[in-house]
Amino acid sequence: MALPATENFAGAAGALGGSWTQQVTQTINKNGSGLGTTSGADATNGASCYWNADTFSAAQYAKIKFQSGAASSAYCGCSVRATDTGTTAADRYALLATGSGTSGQTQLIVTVNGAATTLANYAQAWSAGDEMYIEARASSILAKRNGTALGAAITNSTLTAGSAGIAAAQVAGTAPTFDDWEGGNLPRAYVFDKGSAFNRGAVFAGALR
Amino acid sequence: MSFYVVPIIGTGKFPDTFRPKYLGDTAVPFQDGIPYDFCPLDDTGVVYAQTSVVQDAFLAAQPDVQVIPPLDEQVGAGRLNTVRNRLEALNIPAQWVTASHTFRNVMRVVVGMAQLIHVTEGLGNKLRVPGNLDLRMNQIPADKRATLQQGADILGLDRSGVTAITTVREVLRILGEQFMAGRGVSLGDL
Repeated sequence: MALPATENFAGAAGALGGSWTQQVTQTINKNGSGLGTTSGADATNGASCYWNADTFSAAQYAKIKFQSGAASSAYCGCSVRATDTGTTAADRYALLATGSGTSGQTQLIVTVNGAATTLANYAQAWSAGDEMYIEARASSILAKRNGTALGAAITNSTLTAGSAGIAAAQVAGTAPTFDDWEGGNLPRAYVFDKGSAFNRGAVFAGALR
Repeated sequence: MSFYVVPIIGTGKFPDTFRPKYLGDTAVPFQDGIPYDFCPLDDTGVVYAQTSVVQDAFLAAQPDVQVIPPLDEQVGAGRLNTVRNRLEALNIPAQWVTASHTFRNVMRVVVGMAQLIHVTEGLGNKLRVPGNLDLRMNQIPADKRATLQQGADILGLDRSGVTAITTVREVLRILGEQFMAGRGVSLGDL
């Protein structure tokens, strides 16, 4: 197949398969009504999967439409540089959000061998249809909502390669829902947009010389 | 806006992720949460956060929190030993710090060291800093040594100054100082 890859979650209810590799015990599913969701609650590992039908470059992005979540309980999201399977092996950078605008309800997380670290916290509300976006370029990880950066790019060098994917977490109770995932490679030619991760890095580096 | 060096709390299992103590919790005065960027380094992390006056004062009063002075201030002779000792107490090599370094210089190197450690973690052979700082390269396991070399290469760092008898402490300084001159560190305004 060719990138960008897409998933519209249409079809019968059940776990995403085929071009998808599920990373942990709970899976990313179609809900039978055209949305994505999680297979069930897992208070510690969430649910995640990555696209396996194409090879991604290290500079990659993923985006997904937020549909519904629940504060401190049901998180929607997308991931980049996802690799490996199992609750003690899975790796990924993920943008996760519950919809609540309270700080801590939108997080940029790096998971290494199943252990998650919150790299950034955002106070950002999300409504159904909002686009969640995460990109990784070299050591720069950037999250956006509807095309606007949530903050400065985060510098983290832990994961250097992998695939774009979907990440979610149903801590308890209600399952999150989401729609219209896309994952692909970032363009080689840098666009001189002040908001891009590359240029943020360049601006910071230049300012500090 | 301020920078802090704080302990890391959490189990690493979502939603109890590894996160900075105090700033990542919901106890007063952080009951409403606070936006932050976080660069972990083993059991300690550097945080950039938009704290209020009350929150900043709260953090400054905690014995396990280091509040970083304004970035463009020089360390100065009067604070040199304090800076070195406090960083060393957190298992961060700091004997290279001089009075003429600015705190921006110091924090860029510390975050650079953290980035190098992150790469070794992602490569599956994390070099833990506590307890290993004074080992020579030929005293650490070969697989960790190879991962450290690979990590330096991934970050485009010049490791020509590293030999078999270079200590881990010195390796981190040699490689970390390469971040002082402008290599990509973008934690907040750092």
